[in-house]
Amino acid sequence: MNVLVVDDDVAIRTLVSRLFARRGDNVQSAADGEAAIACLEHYEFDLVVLDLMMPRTDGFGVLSYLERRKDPKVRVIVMTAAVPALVQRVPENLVAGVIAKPFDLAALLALVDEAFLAVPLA
Amino acid sequence: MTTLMEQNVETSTRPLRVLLLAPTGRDASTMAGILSRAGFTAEACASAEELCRGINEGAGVAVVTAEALTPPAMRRISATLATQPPWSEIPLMIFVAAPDMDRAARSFEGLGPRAYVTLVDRPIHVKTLLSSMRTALRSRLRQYDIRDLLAEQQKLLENERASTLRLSGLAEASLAIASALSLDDVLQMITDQAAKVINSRFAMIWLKVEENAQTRTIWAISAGAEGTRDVVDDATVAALDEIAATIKSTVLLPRKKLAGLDAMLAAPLLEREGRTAGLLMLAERPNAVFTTDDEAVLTQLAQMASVAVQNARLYREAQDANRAKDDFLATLAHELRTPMTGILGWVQMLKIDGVAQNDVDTAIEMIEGSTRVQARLVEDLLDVSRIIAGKLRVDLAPVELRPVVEAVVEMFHARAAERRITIETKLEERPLSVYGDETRLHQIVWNLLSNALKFTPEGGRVSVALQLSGSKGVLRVSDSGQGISPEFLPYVFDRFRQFDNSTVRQQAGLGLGLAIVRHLVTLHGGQADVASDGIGKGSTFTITLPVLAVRVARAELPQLLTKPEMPRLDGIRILIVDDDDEAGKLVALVLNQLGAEAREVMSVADAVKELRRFEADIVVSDIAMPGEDGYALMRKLREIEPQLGRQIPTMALTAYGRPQDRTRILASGFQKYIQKPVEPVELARAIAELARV
Repeated sequence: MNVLVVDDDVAIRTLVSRLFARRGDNVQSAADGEAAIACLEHYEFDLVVLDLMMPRTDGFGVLSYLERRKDPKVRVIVMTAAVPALVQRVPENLVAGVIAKPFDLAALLALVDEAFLAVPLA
Repeated sequence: MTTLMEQNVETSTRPLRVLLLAPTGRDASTMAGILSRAGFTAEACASAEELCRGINEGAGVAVVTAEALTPPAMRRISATLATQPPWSEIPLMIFVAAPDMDRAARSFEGLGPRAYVTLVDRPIHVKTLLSSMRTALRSRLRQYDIRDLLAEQQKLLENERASTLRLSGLAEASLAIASALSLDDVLQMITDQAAKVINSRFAMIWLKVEENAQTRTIWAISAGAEGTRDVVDDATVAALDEIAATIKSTVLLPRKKLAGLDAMLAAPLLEREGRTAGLLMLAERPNAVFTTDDEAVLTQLAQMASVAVQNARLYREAQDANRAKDDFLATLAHELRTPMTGILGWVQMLKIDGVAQNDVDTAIEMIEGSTRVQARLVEDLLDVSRIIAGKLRVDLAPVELRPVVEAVVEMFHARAAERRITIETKLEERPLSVYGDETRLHQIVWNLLSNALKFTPEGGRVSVALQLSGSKGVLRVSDSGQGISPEFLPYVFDRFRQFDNSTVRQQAGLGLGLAIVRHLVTLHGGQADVASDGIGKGSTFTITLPVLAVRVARAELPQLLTKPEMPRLDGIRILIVDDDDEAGKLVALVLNQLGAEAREVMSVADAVKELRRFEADIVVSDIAMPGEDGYALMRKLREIEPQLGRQIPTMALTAYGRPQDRTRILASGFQKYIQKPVEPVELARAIAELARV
């Protein structure tokens, strides 16, 4: 599976990247929304693990880019330390799941599994 | 009891004069002579017409002979008596020959119902005449008393009516302020009340308020005069500006001061610190002048309007502060959870069976980094809470600034290189010491640099400049980053404010760093400023700190005298002139510790004043001071020395250190020159030498 990890905090970015790499996934990472969009332009991903509050282009910016692209294949998991009021602004139809920071690594992986189980058999 | 004549003195003679009407002039003038000799004011009238005119103009008694009362004369007098005011019944004394008395009495009914007639028999004894005259005038005086009483009551009634109107108007205005009306509505209400209460043709409020860093002009024109607004032109606005800039209390303005407005009475609307923000004005009311009561009412209404304006501002500020606090708490939650996520996640990673060694290394590195981020966050929060509680203390001692700046820049080199940011430094070559807390000075520079790097994009540039300027040390940190919008500029150093509250996270951090910087700089007696040409144009933070005068820590003061090489300055009177309070105080403390009697002033003007009562042996002065500098002091000294009758030796204590500075200072008349910061012993020796001269 091709995974893109997007977070401006180096510890979290490295952690989540390492987590998926250990599973045998093919992982790339980006430190802000702009870099994430650049990656999405050049490569195909199955999963984007996305932070919301980031410099330059934030998570919402990445989501609206994905909406414009209408890529049915990519699943998005949002991980955020933001307050609930902000999390509620995440468009439900664009994401497969939201996980609040700090989180258990197992919970993140379970959310990913759920996201892919929920893929409709087209 | 006052006599009639005494009252005559007090009252104008005219209302008590005796008018005489007799057909033959001789009769009248004889009687006038008798009355005048007895002290009365008597005037002979040539005709009934003249008598009536006299009554209308004011008289005490009218004396008429029966012969003079022809039917036309009676009609004329009757008409005049009928038009008397209600309180008035002028005594009418008619002289009748005794045999005619009955007939005459009947015929005099023709004088009408308002005639207050006394018939007097002729011939009459002089004493009887005078006594009847006194009685008549006494009765007339009582009528005048009633007149005055009525007038007084009328005036009281009018005052009461006016004050009721004022009170209800003021009450309505204060209710308006207390209600939840908008500022504009409240001001309109006050304007309407001003016109109504003072019964003025036109009232207006003109006011400039600051809202969201923009100036808004509010106009309120009293009901019925709305059209006036249309005639307000640029010249009028300029005139209003000028009036607002000059008046500090309610004043009468010259007529036609304002084109098209004919404004007369104006009261200032005061904002915080007594700044005039606008005006409440009244135009002339028809046929009247403004009274002191009107002025008082207008002043009160203007005060209410001022309160309303200040309330509106406080409310807006409270709302803004509240929103800023909410935003801050949201940011705080985010900033605390972020490093916690890294720490918790990596700890879990370590617990996984068969974790690779390089993962262990990464985990430790990441956990350490995240912990440091969190620790700094907590430190900043604690600092801010100490600042709020007023418990942040600094430990002041002489500190050389340059090494502090160099050390911090060194710490940031690696981080800057990672993002290809150049840090340019231009640091003062001359010694630059301040009286400060080294750890806190370090924190100030660290926060400024950290802030500059945060907001500078990859490949950008940050410059750090430290220079000696007058008697100040100036540190400038500039970046080529995103800059600051003019609206945000005034709030840059506020707590709980970040550059924006959108989800685009500028960089990690709470935005507390700059608030801490400002507070620390203030504790050091300095000043923190920010400038930016706007978004995308970078920003410059400037810290100004007073240069240290004497190289000594307060804690060392008690030990000064124990040093063997230290001269004693017992009994030497010294005046210290330094615009920096701390510097002056420190010099005074050192000198006093050595036995001198040192006093400290902060300006040349104060120095001149002080020298008239304090017989200083020596003057020690700073050179760079705002307004009048050390050279000005020297000129003033030369002027006043003849008056003081002696010459005072002077010493310059200055941060100016170039050879040409030294030459100029000594050429201007200073006997000695010492550069700041000075060692206590060097200062004491210089003073001792000057004292010996």
